[in-house]
Amino acid sequence: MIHSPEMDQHQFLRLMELAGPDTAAELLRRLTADLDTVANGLRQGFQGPSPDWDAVRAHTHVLIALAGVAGAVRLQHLAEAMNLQAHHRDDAGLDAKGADLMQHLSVLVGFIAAKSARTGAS
Amino acid sequence: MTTGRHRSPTAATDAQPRPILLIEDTPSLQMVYRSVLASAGHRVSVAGTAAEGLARFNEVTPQVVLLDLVLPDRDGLDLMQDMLRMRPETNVIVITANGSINKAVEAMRAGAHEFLVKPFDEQRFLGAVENARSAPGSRAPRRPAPAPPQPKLAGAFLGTSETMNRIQSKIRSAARSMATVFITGESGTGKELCALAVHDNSPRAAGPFIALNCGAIPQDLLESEVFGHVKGSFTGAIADKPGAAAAADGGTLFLDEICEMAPALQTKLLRFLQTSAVQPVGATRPRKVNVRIVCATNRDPLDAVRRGQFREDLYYRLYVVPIHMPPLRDRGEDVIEIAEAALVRFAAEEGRQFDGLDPEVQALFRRHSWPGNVRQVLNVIRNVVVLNEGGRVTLRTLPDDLADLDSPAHITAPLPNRARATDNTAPDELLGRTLAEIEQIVIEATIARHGGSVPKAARELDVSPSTLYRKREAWLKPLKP
Repeated sequence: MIHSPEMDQHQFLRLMELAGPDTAAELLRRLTADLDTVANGLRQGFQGPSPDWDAVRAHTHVLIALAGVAGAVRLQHLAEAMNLQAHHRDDAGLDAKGADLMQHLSVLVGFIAAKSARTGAS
Repeated sequence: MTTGRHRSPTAATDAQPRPILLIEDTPSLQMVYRSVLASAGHRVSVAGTAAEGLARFNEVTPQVVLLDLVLPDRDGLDLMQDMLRMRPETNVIVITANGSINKAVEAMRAGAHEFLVKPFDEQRFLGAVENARSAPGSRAPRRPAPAPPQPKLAGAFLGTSETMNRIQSKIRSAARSMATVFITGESGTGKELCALAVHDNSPRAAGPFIALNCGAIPQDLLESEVFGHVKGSFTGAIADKPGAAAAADGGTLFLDEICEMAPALQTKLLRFLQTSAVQPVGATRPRKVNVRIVCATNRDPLDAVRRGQFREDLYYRLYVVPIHMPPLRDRGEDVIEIAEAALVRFAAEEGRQFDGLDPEVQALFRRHSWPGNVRQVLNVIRNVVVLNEGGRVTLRTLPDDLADLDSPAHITAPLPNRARATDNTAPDELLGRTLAEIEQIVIEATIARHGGSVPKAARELDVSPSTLYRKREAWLKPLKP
């Protein structure tokens, strides 16, 4: 079980710096919304007797970039691996890899949402 | 995007440059990219869909467009081509994720100025934008990049083996004529590079080189892709489209995976070759064009003719100067030369320092059969460069699946012997059949052995699942006599 994302903190701080104090809250809100969309899409993609590879490919495609901008290095690599797997429609070890990916994604969503709440409150 | 500190050296000094157009559909990414550009002093116009992007393009006439290739309402590549048709001087930087590099390469061929793979760092992002802003506008009409970076570094023409010397000599001779060149060879052997070499060494090198993959375009769109269409000729034809044959006027049209072309279109291609005239879908009269045809396939074209999948008269019209690209396993020491060259190139791209291949690695590379040919070598070297900091390339640094091949368990007898020892199919049952029939029997039997799982069968057969899907689709659609 992981509780905090494996983050490049410098990357995340630079992201906040780039957004600036006026728009950091809005950026975090949009990030949370985009990550939620990806999480829902992946959840549906993994459901059913066989995966919906097109959905998995499309949502991991977005997740690679989102995790990358947030500095969530481990999640980015997991998304890249899953995207490749979706391209090959290769279901080897999919349950474990999918669960790992979703867990890291969920932790990042929680992390960003917490930052968002704090930024919005300040 | 990974960030670093960087400011544009010139943005602040420009007098009201035109805004940069950013087309990206993910709201948070759109906001991040816009922030980075704004922090470097750029004015930015943003759009979240292709339709909105096209409207902004007409409104702000940007010199530079940052374009995500995956958009919700339309393929980014199509949008780019429309924009370049309208204003060829625009420099388009395409953005894609790691799994879609092929698409970025396709975009480069279609005239993109540069491509960025997500996530990219801030410095690289701003550097690409600065390059695009300072680059002169492209010629009009824009000619697709003759030497896209990815295939060039593929190194298919590296190597000094006698086999490759013969190929290069043949290309030089064939290039000077107008004769149709028919390239055959396994996947990854460099058939498209060969086609480009024919074009680049020909008197039409200054003209366009238009590549079309007949196996990658849905059959119902292929005619429009090759011959074009006029506005309103079918649902979705919202504007006139010239088609690849007209776009290649004065240059070379490369038809890859030619054996996958639908029978009806084969007839039209034959007529085009006979008359040198194209008639777009919905057009009332044909138009003369001056095009040299180069085509390629990884199948045996004569076998496709025998099976009734490829027109015999078209085959003889196309099969004028055949060039067979040899598999890497038949190219002796070339594999080492290609791997070393790729190591230098990729290390420079990734900002790392490597000291060549360890002798054990060289020995493994010589032993390996490289079913994916040059492409596979490049993938292995890219993997090594990306996942290691530098130093000498040893067995330990190789991808696991390749290094494992060196274990005694994987050093096996050549395939025919192994097949005799383990296969339940009596060889006598296969005798008298064509090679294509044998291939089909073996593929279907392997899929059945894996309970219908194509990916698992593909793993055993050491091909990509898409190869099996494509073959099975072709078997379901035999050519009607």
